Amino acid sequence: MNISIIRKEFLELLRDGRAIGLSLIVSLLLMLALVTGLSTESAREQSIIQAKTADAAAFNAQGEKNPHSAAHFSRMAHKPIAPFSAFDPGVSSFLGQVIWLEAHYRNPAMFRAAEDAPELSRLENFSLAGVLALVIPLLGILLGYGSISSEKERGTLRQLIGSGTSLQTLLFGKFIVIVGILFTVLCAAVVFSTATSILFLDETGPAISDLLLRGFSLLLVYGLYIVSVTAITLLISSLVSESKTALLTLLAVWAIAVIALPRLSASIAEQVYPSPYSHEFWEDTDLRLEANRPENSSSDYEAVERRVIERALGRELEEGEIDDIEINARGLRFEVSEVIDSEGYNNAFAELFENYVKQKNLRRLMSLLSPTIALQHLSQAFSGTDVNAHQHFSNEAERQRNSIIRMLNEEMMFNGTGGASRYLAPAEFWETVPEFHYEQPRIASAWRASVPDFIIIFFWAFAGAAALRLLSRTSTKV
Amino acid sequence: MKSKDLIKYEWRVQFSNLAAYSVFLIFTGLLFYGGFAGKAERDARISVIEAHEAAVSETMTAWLADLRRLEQGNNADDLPPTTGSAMDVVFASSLPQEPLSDFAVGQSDLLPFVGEISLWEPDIRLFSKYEFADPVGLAQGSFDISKAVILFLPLLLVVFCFDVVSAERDSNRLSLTILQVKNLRRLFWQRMVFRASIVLAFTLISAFIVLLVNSELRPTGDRMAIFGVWTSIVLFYGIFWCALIALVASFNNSGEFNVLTLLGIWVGLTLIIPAAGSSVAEILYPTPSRLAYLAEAREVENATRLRESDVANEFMLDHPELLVNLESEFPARVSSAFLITSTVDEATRPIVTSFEEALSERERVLSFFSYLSPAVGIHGAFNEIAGTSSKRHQSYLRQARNFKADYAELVGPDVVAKRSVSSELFESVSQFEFIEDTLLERLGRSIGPLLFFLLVSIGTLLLTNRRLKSISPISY
Repeated sequence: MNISIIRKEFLELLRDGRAIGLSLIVSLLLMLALVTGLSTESAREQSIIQAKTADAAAFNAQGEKNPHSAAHFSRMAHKPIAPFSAFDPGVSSFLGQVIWLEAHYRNPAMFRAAEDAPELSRLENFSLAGVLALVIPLLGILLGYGSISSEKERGTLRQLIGSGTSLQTLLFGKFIVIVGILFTVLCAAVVFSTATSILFLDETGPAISDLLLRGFSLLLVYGLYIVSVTAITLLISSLVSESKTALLTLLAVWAIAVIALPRLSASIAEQVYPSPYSHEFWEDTDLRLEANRPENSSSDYEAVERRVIERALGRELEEGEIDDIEINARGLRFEVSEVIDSEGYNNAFAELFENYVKQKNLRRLMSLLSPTIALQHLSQAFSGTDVNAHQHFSNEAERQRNSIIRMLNEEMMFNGTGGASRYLAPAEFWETVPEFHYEQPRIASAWRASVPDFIIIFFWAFAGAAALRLLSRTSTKV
Repeated sequence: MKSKDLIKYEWRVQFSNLAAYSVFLIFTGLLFYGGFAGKAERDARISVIEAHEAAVSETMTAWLADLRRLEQGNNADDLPPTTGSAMDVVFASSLPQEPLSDFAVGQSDLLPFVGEISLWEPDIRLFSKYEFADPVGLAQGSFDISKAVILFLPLLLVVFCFDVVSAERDSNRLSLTILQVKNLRRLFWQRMVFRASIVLAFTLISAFIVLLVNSELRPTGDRMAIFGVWTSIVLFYGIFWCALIALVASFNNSGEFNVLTLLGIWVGLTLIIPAAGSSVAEILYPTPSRLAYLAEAREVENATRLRESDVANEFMLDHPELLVNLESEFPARVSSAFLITSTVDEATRPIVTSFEEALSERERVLSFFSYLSPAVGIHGAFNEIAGTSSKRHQSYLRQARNFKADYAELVGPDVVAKRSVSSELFESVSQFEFIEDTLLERLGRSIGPLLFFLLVSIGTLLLTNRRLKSISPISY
């Protein structure tokens, strides 16, 4: 019976032509979004590769130079393109592309790609993920608003029930058909994205298995979104007696849940947990660094000094050895201040990212009113374009900064001790400074950070399906 | 049926029920929230500008006091060797907030609106430290009253006006109605005008309340004038959508068909065309890579350091009047930094120019899209009158760069000659002031699409009027 109902519903949608027409329009939009995404991201990838090469060349061609001057010139850490950024660019365009690994300062990433995007891009997001989150519910609504209400209007529902078909079976059939159509569109989008990600994969990118898992995770969460959207559509179609009312109600729900609430939730989160202003952040950080710096003559300072020397020598110092050791005092002072300040910078940036987490938690709370918010969190996490991915990059870049600056300071510490106040490192020294090899976080870390969002979207899908089932078993009014 | 009776009937049926109250409540909530969020953004920007100006003023007061001590020669021994160096002069720069900037956040949450101008920083790093606003909020696009109007006003008009005729058709009363009212056209337009007026009046009254509350009940003349322009744009937009709804309704299809058609048009005009427009513009005219700009700047910085003495000699040849103060205690790094920064700025100027060219080409493409969708034109017009457009921000950045270049030209010889500047010279240097386009100039950039859509609306209304004649009681 179920199969024949599914077949009948499917044939009805095909004959109506709406399903095919709408699916074609949506597929066209998705294709356009995919091509746009791929074109933007591949241009960006090319420019990263060129910039990295140019940066290495400029650093290595410094000639004879004081290591501390070189530490100010330093290197740039380029953020690689995320595995699925053509699918969902997420917030990557709003967080900067490159970090200057300068001595004394932990810099935020510079050059947000969004600053160069047209003003109009702020009105609507045209990524594949944006189109899916926006259009999938709309497609579901258009396919399903009249599923039950029009049967009621035509009087065929009474006839169907009278002929022995239960409302539960009927709803299940309609549910399967709509979910099937939406899932086909989704599958095409995700499979294309995964395939292109694998196709354009270079040796520095993640493993193929990681990409496949990301694709599967995206399929899973968007699939749950489809289930919840379809369930809500059929629920409202069953509860009202006219197709027009069902359509208007569903469109109102769509406008609020898909268009308004994601924007509102982000805006409210920023109002409740305001991000620090740049000048406040830097003033506050400077004060903290100042407070954290011990007096040069204090035992704390001496302890750090000792640690720095031991680390540079690769062995523990013997008692009294520190006074006899020949060391460039400027180089030592620079490295000690790096070690002391590094903790302060890490705390300041950790608090900044912690504030983003608070904002995310508030948005999560609001995703109890709209599954689109949870979906956006999950989609960005699995695409590697969320704030967590950026934080990972920022922390790794900071590690690289510490290691480069340490190397340059140590070069200075053990040279120029014989009275030369401005030691110049030889021209070939710069090539010994290691490159920044950044490995993007794996899918497991995205999953760990996304469990609450997954529970929310699972809850939406489960609650929607359960409510539909309950309604079909208890509803007597046909 | 008299007009008065019709209005009473329409009010009772269309607006005096729980569903209508709910829709209006949600819409008001969105408008008010958008208005207040816009105000919070604007106030935040103003406080950042004030803090920045206070900090720069404090720094420069201390710098000037030191310079005066040096000039007067009293207790000058403890002064640092760089006292009076023109390199250490910092200028405050900011983009002034326009009277109605709380109504459209535009690009002001993303693009720089404040920054120190200093000769220590090359152009590329002049505004590189951005604000730490929530990236998710930025990606979603700030929510303000103008955006609420662009996205939701058409939907509200659709909800209340789609069934001016179809309500009768769907309930099989159309023939009877036509026979009773004699003039269907009059009934159609009366209903349409009444319903649309209620929605538009409600929107404008809500916006006016937002204006009053955000101005603490004392809006200035400037603010009122720009609000007048904002109101006119909203009316243009409303009229366009009313004309479109009327046209769809005049085809006398079922209500369901009307809703679906209008929804499709809404999705196309307010979501797909703007999104596709910006993507097409980005693909056709990509800006040069910022990373390439950075790489070029670093390469030049490195090359200049390696041939610093040559660069200094070239500068001397350009300034034959220059006499280097051989007894100066100015560290060499000061003049060296000046030469490097100037050389980097000069070498990267073509890249900055190509950025500007790409942006203006994009604007040309987008101006084409603003004739395809009123949402595109309206979005640009709202940002222009609120002073939050990309163009205004880019103009600010350009003016800041030019100001720095002019100042570098003025004091460059002193810096290279390792001389301090005089306090008179410092006081004679004018501070950075943003040169504003007039409101008319800014409006002029958006008026074309607005007038075009007004003409389209008039044409649509005339066409609808003609179509209404074809609805006859015999066919239904």
